[in-house]
Amino acid sequence: MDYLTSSDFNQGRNEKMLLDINSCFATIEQQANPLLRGKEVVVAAYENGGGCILAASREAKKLGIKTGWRVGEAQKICPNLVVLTPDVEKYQFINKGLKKILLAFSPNVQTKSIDEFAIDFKGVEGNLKEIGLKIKEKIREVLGEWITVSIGIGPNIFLAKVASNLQKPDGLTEINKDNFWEIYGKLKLIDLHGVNFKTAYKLEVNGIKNPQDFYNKSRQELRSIFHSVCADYWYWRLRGFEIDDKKRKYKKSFSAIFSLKIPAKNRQELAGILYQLCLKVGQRCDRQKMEAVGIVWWGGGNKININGKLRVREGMINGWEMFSKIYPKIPEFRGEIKKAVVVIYDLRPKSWQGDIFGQRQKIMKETEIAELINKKFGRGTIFPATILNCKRIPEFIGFGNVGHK
Amino acid sequence: MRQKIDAPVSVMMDFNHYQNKIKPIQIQWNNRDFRIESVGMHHQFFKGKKLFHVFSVTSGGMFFKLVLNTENLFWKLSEVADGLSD
Repeated sequence: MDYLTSSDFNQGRNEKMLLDINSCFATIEQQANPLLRGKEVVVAAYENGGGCILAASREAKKLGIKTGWRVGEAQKICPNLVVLTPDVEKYQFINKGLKKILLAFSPNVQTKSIDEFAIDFKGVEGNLKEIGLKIKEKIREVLGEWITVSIGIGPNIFLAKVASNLQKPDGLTEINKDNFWEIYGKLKLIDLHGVNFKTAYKLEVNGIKNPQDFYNKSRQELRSIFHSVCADYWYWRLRGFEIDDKKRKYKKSFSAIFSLKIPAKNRQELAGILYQLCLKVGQRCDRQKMEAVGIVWWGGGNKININGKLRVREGMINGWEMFSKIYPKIPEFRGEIKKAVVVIYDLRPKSWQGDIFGQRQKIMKETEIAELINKKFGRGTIFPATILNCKRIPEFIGFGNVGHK
Repeated sequence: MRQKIDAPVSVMMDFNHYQNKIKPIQIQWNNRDFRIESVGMHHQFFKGKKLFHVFSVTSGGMFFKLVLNTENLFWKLSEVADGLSD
């Protein structure tokens, strides 16, 4: 039995658009190298069998190869698979170029990740589907004919994201007050962005089998399922009202993670990796003119797990200072560390106030000079003497951030 | 097969002042001339303050990644590939 009450769905004009580059890294590689077009290509963290696939080309996806697989698994399905490692600069360049194109259509463009943008067309006249087609045309003209995007249009970012996933590759789909019910009927719960298997199970246990059921639940019923403010969020999201467009002025934390191709076998090697991760988070923190009060680091591998956490009274202003705080805490260990993480938290606006003994001013001056050298010659030019011979980690990028300003 | 190399290379460029477009037309590497057939992508990146221009080009079934260091205007060939798996 349907309880459709279309009147409580957002009746306003669709103003949100979400744009997603199809098979981002793989498509960009095929754009750069025309010899790879039409072939099964994957971009993986490493070229060897254990490397994790970050992006698979359309041709590879047709064979069932998916992001997150190991290269070895994919090669069993496709022996002729072309495996490439990420070329971060190339992807960042396309990201910037795409943003430039989008800014010509609307001043409100939000970079969601390296391959995803949310655009708000509030106050911009014109039919969004026509604008979408023009954007696609411009992308072909400026960035290249092989790069395709899926565009979703909706009354809020959530539904625009759902719409963008409906037709891939090269799609242009709209969810509006006239077709939302039909689309909800075709989708599964896990097709909704933000619903994972665990949440879907929780909903199913409570009698919600599909998005239509989800929509029909009252706020009270949803509250009894979620026991939190998430109930209200879902209630409004599904009705096309915007609750996800939060423009946070500052980030609450920064993190950097790196999986090591060759494991770190001693303290110095791990310190070298942690130093480079500190530089990465420190640079991001510095760009936002923030300082960090807390830092957590972790190194893990087979049967080994070492970590540390500390808080400081005077905020850490950059990667150098962060590393100097954690370096003495890194213990000697036996085993192989395969993954390292650094997280800085409790960020606050940078304070330039020094202490009466001038100690802080001295550290600030030293770190400032080191940072200037790193800025001029590239990140990681200056290394503390104690870890001078450590392995240099390449530029890397994870989904979820853009890796540049 | 893809090979990362870091070798100097001679590059002949064409600049069209009507369209404001720049395009490599021929390269010379290992005493062989390669006429550029297509430019897949042209992108830039900074390493510190140094700006590099990268041209991804193909010639005769081969892929070349050409890098121009704008500080000294030297060209380097950073990658060669044939578009097949390793």
